[in-house]
Amino acid sequence: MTHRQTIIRLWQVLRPLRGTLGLSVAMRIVNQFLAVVLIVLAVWGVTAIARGGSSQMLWTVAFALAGLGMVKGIFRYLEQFSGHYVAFRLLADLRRQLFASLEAMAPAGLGRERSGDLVSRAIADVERVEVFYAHTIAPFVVAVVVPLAVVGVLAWISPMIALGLLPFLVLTGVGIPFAAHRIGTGAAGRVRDRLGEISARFTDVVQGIRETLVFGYGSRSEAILDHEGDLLASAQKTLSGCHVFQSTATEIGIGSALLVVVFLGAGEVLSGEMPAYDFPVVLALTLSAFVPLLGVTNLIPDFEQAISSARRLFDIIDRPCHESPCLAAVGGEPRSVGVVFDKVGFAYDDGSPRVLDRVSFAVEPGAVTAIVGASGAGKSTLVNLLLRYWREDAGEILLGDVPIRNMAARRVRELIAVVPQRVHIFNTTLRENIGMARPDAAMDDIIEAARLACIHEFIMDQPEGYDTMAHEGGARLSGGQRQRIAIARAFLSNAPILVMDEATAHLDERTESRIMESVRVWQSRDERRAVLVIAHRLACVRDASRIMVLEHGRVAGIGCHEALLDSCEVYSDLFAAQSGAAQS
Amino acid sequence: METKSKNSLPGSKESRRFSYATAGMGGAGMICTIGQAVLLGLVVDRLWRSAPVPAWLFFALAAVILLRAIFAGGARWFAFGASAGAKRKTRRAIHGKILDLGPARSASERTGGLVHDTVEGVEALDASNGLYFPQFLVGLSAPLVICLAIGVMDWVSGLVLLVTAPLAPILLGLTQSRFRAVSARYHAEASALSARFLDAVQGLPTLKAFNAGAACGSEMAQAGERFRRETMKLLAVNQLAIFLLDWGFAVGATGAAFVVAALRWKAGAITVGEAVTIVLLSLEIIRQLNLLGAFFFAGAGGRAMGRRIRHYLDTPGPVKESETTGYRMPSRRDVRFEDVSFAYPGGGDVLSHVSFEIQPGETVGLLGASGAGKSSIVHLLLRFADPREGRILLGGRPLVDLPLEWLRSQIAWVAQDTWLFHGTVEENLRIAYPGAGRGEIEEASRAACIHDFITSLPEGYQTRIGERGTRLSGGQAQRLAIARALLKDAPIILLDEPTSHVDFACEAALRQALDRLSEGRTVLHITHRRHSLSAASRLFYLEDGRITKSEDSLTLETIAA
Repeated sequence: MTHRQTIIRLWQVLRPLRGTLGLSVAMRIVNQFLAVVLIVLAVWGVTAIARGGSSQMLWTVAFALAGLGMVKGIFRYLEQFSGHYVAFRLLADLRRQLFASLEAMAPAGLGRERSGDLVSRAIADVERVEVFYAHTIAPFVVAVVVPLAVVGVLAWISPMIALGLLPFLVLTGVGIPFAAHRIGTGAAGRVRDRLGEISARFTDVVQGIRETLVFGYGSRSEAILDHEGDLLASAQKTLSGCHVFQSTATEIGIGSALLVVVFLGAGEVLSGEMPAYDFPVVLALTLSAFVPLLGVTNLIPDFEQAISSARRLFDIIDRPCHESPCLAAVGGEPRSVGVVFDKVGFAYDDGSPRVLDRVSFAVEPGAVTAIVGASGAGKSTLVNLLLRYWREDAGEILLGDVPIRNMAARRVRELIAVVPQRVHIFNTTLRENIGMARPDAAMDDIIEAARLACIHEFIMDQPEGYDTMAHEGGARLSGGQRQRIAIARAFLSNAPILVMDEATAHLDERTESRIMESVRVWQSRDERRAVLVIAHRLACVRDASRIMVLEHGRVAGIGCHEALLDSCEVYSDLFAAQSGAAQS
Repeated sequence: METKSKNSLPGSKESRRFSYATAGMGGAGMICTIGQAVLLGLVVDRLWRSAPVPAWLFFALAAVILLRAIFAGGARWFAFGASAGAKRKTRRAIHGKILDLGPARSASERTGGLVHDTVEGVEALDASNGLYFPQFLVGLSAPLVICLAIGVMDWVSGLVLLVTAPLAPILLGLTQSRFRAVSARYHAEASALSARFLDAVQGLPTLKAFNAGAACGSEMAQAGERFRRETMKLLAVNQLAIFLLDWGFAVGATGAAFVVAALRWKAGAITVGEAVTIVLLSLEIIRQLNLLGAFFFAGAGGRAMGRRIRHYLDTPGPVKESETTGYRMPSRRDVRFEDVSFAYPGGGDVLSHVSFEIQPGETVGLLGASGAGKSSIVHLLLRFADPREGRILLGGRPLVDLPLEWLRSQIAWVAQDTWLFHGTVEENLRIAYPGAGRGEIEEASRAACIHDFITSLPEGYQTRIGERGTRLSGGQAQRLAIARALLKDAPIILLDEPTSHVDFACEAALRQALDRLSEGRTVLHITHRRHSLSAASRLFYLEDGRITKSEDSLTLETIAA
């Protein structure tokens, strides 16, 4: 995304608030004019008194100064407030859009993103963009309007001086900022990227703290962070150099203008073209013409960073999303809730190995269907496709009689409750962690789901019961407790299709069989409910009405336990290995 | 409320020097501006009398302008130095503190917030060290210095205009206390929002599966809206301060300067040029104080962040590094728990009166239901936390007497869920043994049954595994963890459900690898499934934090048979 495209995007985002911003700009213009008037009036007052003005005039000017000062203050207050109002409204909006895009992309589109960097974009980069809205647009307009008006007034006093001033205005207003932009633009981008990288690194260290300590990775991770810090510092040094250049160059520009004006003005006074009492007024006008320009030139390094930050945001927000073509439902509502996989093929990336190859099987309502297979056989990929996190390359998946690709992803997920292999526990209360599956659920429903998932008693043992905080990632919960929270979620959601992906791997056998009993109870409440169990332990699946054996992404056999023992070599081998293991 | 911490941030001494240098440059620049105003006054006087302007006045004016440009650049340059070193040292200190606090404490920290404070919070030091603090010094002294300069021309004017001197401290004093509280809240809110965002992003697949993403997004938007209101409130105060400054100075400085200059001219005490100089100088007072107002917001933010960071750095760690030095490390590798009780801060006992021992070279199984306290034993042995009561010995020496790094280097741990760092497969394996050759890495992967999978990936060992290894199945991640343990080659081995996600065909092979690994080493194997224990020579049952039963291997085999 080029500079210009980014600025255009930022301008588009501004649309709903352009009126307020226009008001803000207008107030700033008034405020800056008043600043010029104040200076010029005070200097003019002195010369007028010196030319014999009365005491009454003296006090009139003094009260005018005080009054104008207050009006100026009010305008400045309103200008700042409305400018920030616009900025912060838009920032909230950008954050919302960013999260919505991430939500639409996850998890397929986020494989390469790092959550620490994403947070840096959502919080810090969004905050940086504030500079663009609150401190760029209005000052830029003012920096054009006010100096031109001042030059106009000067031209009325002395065209020669106005002409002499003009090149310096162009130099400090256009030339120097442009040069600063050329110096700083690359460095500003590097600063924002490095900050994102450092956020990601720190996130990695904090969340991987156990491994960091156990493998003595701390000193190496410190070295990496130091290195990143050095890269950041060197980019910031360049930006800082940009600041140094700009401050120095601008001061020289303004100073030279002043010298030229003094020189030309002195000449005109001595030659009698201009009265001596106009000279101080000309000086005051010259000095005040540059004030709005100073407001802009000091902003360039911040402005560059704001543009880089905006680029990092639009990079996510404008990314095309996997799901978009299917958001509109065209296939209608399925009449039953069975699932059919029909010759499904899939690879995660072009060129990477095929994870699934012509997989066909059905999950019938009212029955328990199981998938078994070695780890890495493609079991969880089937779930990823079913939830429409990824899209099958070949064949199709049907819900009832409707291909899920023709259904709204939201509707598909309403019909399916998943207990994933890797459970995410949110940093909130246990009640909310379960309740997230159904926001309108009553407390009784949550307790009922927790009972079915054999986690109610544990929760009641906690100091604050269901209001106990789970901590980040459920840090104070054991692996088995986390799994049972996830199972309770799935029960609560009331979706007619329950998918359990190695959902009991961290549970002891007694709890596991109680959970499987709960699943049967849950299913018996409505004959249309379908259950899909994915496991590598055959004990969990031998009672299933149909078992599908998956090997290297292909179906190696389908049938009930007994039939598979007879007909399917892969299955009987698995069974032999397990019963052997159980007896050793 | 000021926190009690008196410790300053790392590197703050050095940055103070740069801050003073920045202030010095600012002050020098201000003196140049005074010089410029005086020279312009001289020019006005000459022209008023229609006298020619001598060349030296032009040269003097040019010199003053050049010097001021140099000082302006210099101030910017030193401002950079005022935080560059401090930021680096502060990040280092936070990194050290994260390691120091370890997993037991970080559970109560919210990662997103901590990371925000570490990255953006530290960046905020720029504003407080490089901009606000120097300008604070210059801004407060500006009225005094300028009135002194005016006093040299005409002591009455100087004295009268001195009434403007207290304006700045009064106005700052009026707003500052309220300001500090609001700005601390503002930063706390930014931290909380970061934490929440991170949690939501990492939980996106779950949110999506339950169609809860939109709800979570709008909840965050509401939090963001609260944040925005907070900010606007803060700004309303901030801008009010600026308004008062603006108006106060327009009246107090420009107005007063005009009146004084005009009256003194009428009294014949000063020339017209000096009167113009006085008015121009009043503008410089306003400019300096406006700069102070402009940096106020960012500066207060930086100081609020500084307090948060200091507060974090002052958190005491859960375990203390051993202070005994010069001892020889124990050569035996037996582990003994003596009457150990343990509770997390603010919770009940997770372990109570646990005693057992593992002989050198012995494998002991620890069996218990989910939540029985098995993982707490691991935490204690690795000294992520210390027992509330009782002690743990390694080779007859209490753990608290052993250097932490040495202790942890003696233990290879295969955890229930392994953290995979952002990087390639090879980098993730190499963490366990940085000096490992390619051959050793492949050998370990083969033994852990993961080599074939790795080579089937498009870029083999150089494949980048996304954050937390999202593309890997649970079983694959566990096998990587086993490969890491094999590479680490430590004398004590902790197995915590190492194969819960691994299928049986693979488990048989893995068990061989684990058995080979266990040979001659001290092993604690934790599980909730009895049959996944193979070579356990003894077995303990852990129930609700107590050891309820123990068996030797003989009866175990009898039962199995």
